[in-house]
Amino acid sequence: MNKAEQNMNAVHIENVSKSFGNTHAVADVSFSVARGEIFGLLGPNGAGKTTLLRIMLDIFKPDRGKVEILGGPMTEEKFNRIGYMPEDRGLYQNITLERCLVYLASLKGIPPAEARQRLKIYLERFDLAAHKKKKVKELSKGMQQKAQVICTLLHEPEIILVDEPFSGLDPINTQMIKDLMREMRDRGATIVMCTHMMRQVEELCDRIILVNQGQSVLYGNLNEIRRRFSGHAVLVRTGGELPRLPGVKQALPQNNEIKLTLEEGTSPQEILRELIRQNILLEKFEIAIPSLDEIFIRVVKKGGV
Amino acid sequence: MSKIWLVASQEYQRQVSTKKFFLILFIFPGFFLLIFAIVYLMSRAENRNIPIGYVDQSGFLKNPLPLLKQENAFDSSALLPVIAFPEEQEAHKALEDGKIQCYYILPPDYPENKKVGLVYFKPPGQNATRQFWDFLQMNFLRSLPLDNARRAVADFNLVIRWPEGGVGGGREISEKDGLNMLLPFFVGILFILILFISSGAFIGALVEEKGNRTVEILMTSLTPGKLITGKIIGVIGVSLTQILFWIFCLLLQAFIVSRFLGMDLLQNLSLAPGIILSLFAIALPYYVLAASLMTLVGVSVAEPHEAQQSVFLFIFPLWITFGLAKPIIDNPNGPLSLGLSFFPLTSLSAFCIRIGFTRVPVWQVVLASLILCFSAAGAMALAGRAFRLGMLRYGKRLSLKDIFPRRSHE
Repeated sequence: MNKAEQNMNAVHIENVSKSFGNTHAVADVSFSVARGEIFGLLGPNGAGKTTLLRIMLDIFKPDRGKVEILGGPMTEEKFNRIGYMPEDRGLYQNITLERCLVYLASLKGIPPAEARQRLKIYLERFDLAAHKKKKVKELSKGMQQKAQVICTLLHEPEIILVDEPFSGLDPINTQMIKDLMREMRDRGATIVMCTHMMRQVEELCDRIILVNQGQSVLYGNLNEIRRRFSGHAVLVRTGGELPRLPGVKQALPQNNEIKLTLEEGTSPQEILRELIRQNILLEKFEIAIPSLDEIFIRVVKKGGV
Repeated sequence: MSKIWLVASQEYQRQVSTKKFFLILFIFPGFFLLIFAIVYLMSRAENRNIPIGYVDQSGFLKNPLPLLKQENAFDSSALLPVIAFPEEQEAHKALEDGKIQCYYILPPDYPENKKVGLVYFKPPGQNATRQFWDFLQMNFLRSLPLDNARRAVADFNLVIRWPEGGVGGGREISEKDGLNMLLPFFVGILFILILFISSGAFIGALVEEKGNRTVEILMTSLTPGKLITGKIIGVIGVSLTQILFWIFCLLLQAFIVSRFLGMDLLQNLSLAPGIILSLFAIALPYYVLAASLMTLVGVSVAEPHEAQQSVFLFIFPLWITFGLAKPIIDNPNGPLSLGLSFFPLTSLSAFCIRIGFTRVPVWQVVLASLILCFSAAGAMALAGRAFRLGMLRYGKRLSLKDIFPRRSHE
């Protein structure tokens, strides 16, 4: 990646390593996040995701490697252009919701009066307007989660780093957050999302990195990765009984379909030709692309976790 | 608004909006009020505001000089009328009627023997005895010019001057300065008290921020240095509010009792501007040092109760100094006094004790203040480092090894 391309990226991490004592939390990880994309930072527990987020945010200094945010090293001015939602929610519990959010927004460079104006809109949208004078600790877990989202977005950041944004949310609020993330992306914001919820990643992310034991094990465009991991299998649904087919190692029913695992040297086209030759009424025939869940488990297990 | 001021303002508002703050704010004025009330009631019990009578059989008090109000602090008594009776029977009748509380009899040989008789049903108040005595004194001195007589009758004031270069360092202390000598001492104790109270709230806030993860949001909004500076300013603001409110209440109460109850408490109270400046020059950097140490403690521990216990680590040296008050007062310029004055953790209390009893040279104040400033700057830098390391260690303590590592593991 040349310098000009690097400058196009919202985040550029190059050969970053970080140790805590004898523990290598992150080892030689590199990735870039383009402006205006939703990027998934995935990995099992303890893989180093949060450490990577904190390195991006300059909370931790890397032992080695280079970190560029918005085209250069992190500065205090850039703090105002970044929104961060930590996994463990961080709001003052003993002050009112309004005071808490206005204060945190003012620390991001928004004048308090303007923060109050913006907050009014967000509180209406998140159905929290009636609770603005309540102490944060008096709000339900879901409400606090929504308040945390508002805290992350109120200053309209260019880069949004979110750690498990959907935990504790019901399906309606999950959908609301997803819509909001798409909306932010459409406005040009860059989103880096740390999550275990692979369905949300599949729905939202353009590209991902999967880290395991501090190392990058998968990185790239989500669809390309899924195609890369598509097994030697096809999914078929027929109008009647499926006969035994040559070149098929295993036939497993899966919902209303059958997943055919092919023998080495057999191509999906050969199976399709055979099905047509046998005059089987086909309702569905597709290459079996694994879900991100399956890829995640496969890669992580292979990594020895 | 600068982020430092935003943090300071938030810290200030957070602390002053608690019930605990208001409780502490009003406890001390209430305590002072109680002391004033006790002093007033004791004074009332000792004094009786009923005129005094006398029967002069000697002629000594023919055309007497009137008595003036004594210039004596804490004298709450009003000037009592002194009534002359030509005959003892009339005086006795007045006593029986309750018009006087007692009467004195100056026998014919009074000018020679200086003996008087006193008749009463109930012992007269201290004010009555004292005032009649002053009345007699005035009249003994009536051959002197009137002003001189009055000055002689008024309270005498013993003044002690130490020679230059001696133990007292050329200082001059008058008898009426007793309160002023002890005032810096009390200021020191008050300061420690405030430090102890505010440290609890401050460290509690840090542990809470660490506990509820707000710190992660804060650390992605401003630098640890600015965050800590803002918090320290906020804590200083809270403490100043407490001190100023207490001083205001104390002065108001003193004014009220002086104005309406006749107890002149403020008459002899004065602190030289030099002493105030010296205390300020020491107290301010000391407070920054203490607040930085509080931050170190707050981010190094996992639980609020551990933090509260750790506060004793830096409160203890201050108390130790007060424990050594006697040798310091005995020799306020000796090696012990100087050593404690220049050691950052005892500097404030040592100066508070010394400053009332000796004239502390300016160079000592400047040097101690500089040492404190450097210590405070160092402690702030350490606190910033500890903050960065410790605030993200949820539920874990931070050790000295973490703060002073051989190799950087930020």
